[in-house]
This record gives sequence, C-alpha cells and structure tokens, in this order.
Amino acid sequence: MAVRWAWPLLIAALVAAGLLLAWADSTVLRGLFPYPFPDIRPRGRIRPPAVDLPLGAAAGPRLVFPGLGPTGGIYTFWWFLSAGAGIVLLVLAALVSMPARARRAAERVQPATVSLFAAAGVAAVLLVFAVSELLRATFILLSVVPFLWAVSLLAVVFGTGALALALGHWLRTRLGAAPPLLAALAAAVALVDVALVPVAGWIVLAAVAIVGLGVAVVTRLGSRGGWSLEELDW
Amino acid sequence: MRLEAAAGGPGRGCARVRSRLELLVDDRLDAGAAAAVRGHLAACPACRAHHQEAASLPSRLRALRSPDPPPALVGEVMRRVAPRGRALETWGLLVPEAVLVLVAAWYTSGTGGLVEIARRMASDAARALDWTTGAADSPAPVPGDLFMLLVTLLLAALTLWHLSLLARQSQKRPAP
Repeated sequence: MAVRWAWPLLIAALVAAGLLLAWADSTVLRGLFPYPFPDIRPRGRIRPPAVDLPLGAAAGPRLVFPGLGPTGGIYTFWWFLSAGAGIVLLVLAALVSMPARARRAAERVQPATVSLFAAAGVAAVLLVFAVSELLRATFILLSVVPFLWAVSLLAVVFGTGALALALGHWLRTRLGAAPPLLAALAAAVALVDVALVPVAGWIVLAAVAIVGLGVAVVTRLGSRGGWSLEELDW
Repeated sequence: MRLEAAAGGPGRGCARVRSRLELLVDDRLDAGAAAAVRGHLAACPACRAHHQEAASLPSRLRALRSPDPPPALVGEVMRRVAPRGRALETWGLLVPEAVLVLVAAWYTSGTGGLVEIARRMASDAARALDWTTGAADSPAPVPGDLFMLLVTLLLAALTLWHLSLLARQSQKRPAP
C-alpha cells in the first residue's frame, strides 16, 4: 500500500509539536519535579553537573519566557517525553496484540455513541472504586485489588487503542490510504500532543481514558457477541 | 390425478386446478400434474379464464409504473432510523451514583477523605502482595464500618446495573 506524502509529514509535525509541548511542560511544571540525582558529593566542594539545561545545552544564556520563567530542566522534559512515548507504545501494543477485537470496538465508535461510552466509563470508574473498597473490607480478598486495577488499566489501554484506530480510520478518509497501524500511530501521537498541553492537557487525557474504558466495558474488549451470553448455549 | 370438469359451476376438481394455476404458470409442477391441469383447462372455460388471468399477471405487474417516491422520503426514513437522543437513559443513573459518592465524601470528611481511602487501599493492597511473598507483615484488617460498606455496596450494584443498561442500549443502536 503506497503511503502518501501527507502521512509522514503529519506524523513528523505531530512529533515536533509533541517535543515542543514537552519542553513547554518542563518549563511550566518544573517546580513540581524533584531534582532526580542524589547528592553524592558534599555540597560546596565540587559543583554538581549542570543537568537542568534543556536539550543538553551546556553553556549559553538560558531562555526566559515572559510569564513562564526560565526553560525547564532536561529531567522534566525527558519525563514528559517518555511518558508520551509510553502511551503511544502501549496503545500500539494493544492494537497489535488484539487486532480483531480492536477493530470490532473501533467500529462501534461513532459520534452518536461517544456519550454512551463516556457514561459507561464514568460508571466503570465508580464501580472499580466501590469494588476495591468492598474487597478491602473483606480483608481476605485484599490481594485481588491490584489485579482489579491492572485489568482496569488494560481496559483503558485497549479502549484508547480502539479510539486511536477509529480516529486513524477517519484520518484515512481525509488523507488517503495508509496502513491502519500508521494511521493509528498518527492518532495516538495527536492524543499525546493534546495531553501534553501544559496545565489543561491531563484533563483531555483523563477524558479519553474514561471514554476508552467505556469502550472496553461496553464492547467487552471488542468481543463478537458483546455482553450477550448466547455463546454459552450450544 | 383425476380431474373433473365443472358442469354447472366450479366443482371440487376446478378448485384443485385453480389452486395449482400459479404453480403451472411458474413451471413448478411436475410433468404428470401439469398435463392433468392442462387437460382440465382444455375442457373447462372458467378455469381457462383463470389461467389466462394468472399467466398474464407477471407481465401486467411488470407493466405497472413504479410510483415516484415523495421527495422527503429518504430524509424521513433516515430521521426515523437515526438513534434518538437518549441522554436521560445514558446519563440519568449517574445522578444517584454521584449522590452516593457525595454521601461517601461527606461521611469521610470531604474529598480528602476519599483520597485518603484510595491511598490506604493502594497501600494495603501493596502490603498484601508483599505479605504473600513474605516481604512484609500482613496488613491490619479494616475496622468494621457498616455505613461505608452499605454505601459502596449500593454504588457497586447501581453502577453494575447502569453498565448493563448501557451495554443493552449499545446493542440496540444500528451497526455502522
């Protein structure tokens, strides 16, 4: 399948935007991140390495943005970047490991059903909280709580993958033919870009995660029969 | 098969022949039955008239002109099959769920209390896992709290019901 030039261009632009947004995040939220390296030498005798300059710039004047302060440290920049890359990799891993299920779930994602999935996601979050508290109260089943959360996380990743696949499918109708995984990659990078918008981006990420959880729950991880139990009858 | 021609009016034989006229026209009778029916038709003018009528029906139907659909037909059909706004069905149950969460928050002295419960839950769960590997002592049992148990039980039941309704509602929607 021939990939049109628009796709590499789009992904490159999205990655570049992600780098800039991670830089902006590291600038704005630098104060929230602790200095990552312990002092291994007594203070004052040997100067610690300058690790807080962006992109490894060793010398030169630091950039100061009006209202935002100096540019952030390389550590915070790297934290945001690796968190974004992790999200993209997890989403792609979900699509690669469960392609048929992801497709069935993605086919159910339409503008008219998003509100249904959002409501299901909110209800599922509350259910996980309530069940966790009930398991904790039983004491004996306390060990099940981490597995419950792990399954919930898996459902969030799967649902986000389905959303990325659906968004990628929509992009393919606009930009032309491309491998579905490439289109989903573009959609996932776009999602990470939005999530990296300083201060408010996490709200969008949380909303997408909740809708994704709803997609996974309502479609029962994209199973063919949904929540119908007819398959038990043979 | 013995067929009797009608003498004064349609007899039993005529009735049987007329019930097979459609099959004869469609060429779905076996050779013997078709010959018997044709033999009756040759002798019975009333049944022959019925046969001519049946034989000409397909061509007459073909000659009928399809009526033009009204201009608003497609729009009206699409409007009727489009998923209706089910905002109340979708979001309605979130209201009692939110009320239960608020009650829990009130009972635990605000959202800070809920966050503290979540933190303790994570801490206890991690400790329980460590305990299974022998890396830590077992976590202490949670003190009995009937009210909180009731609230969370109610919340779990309500959210499960809500999710089942949403799953059913999702299946009713037309497939893309």
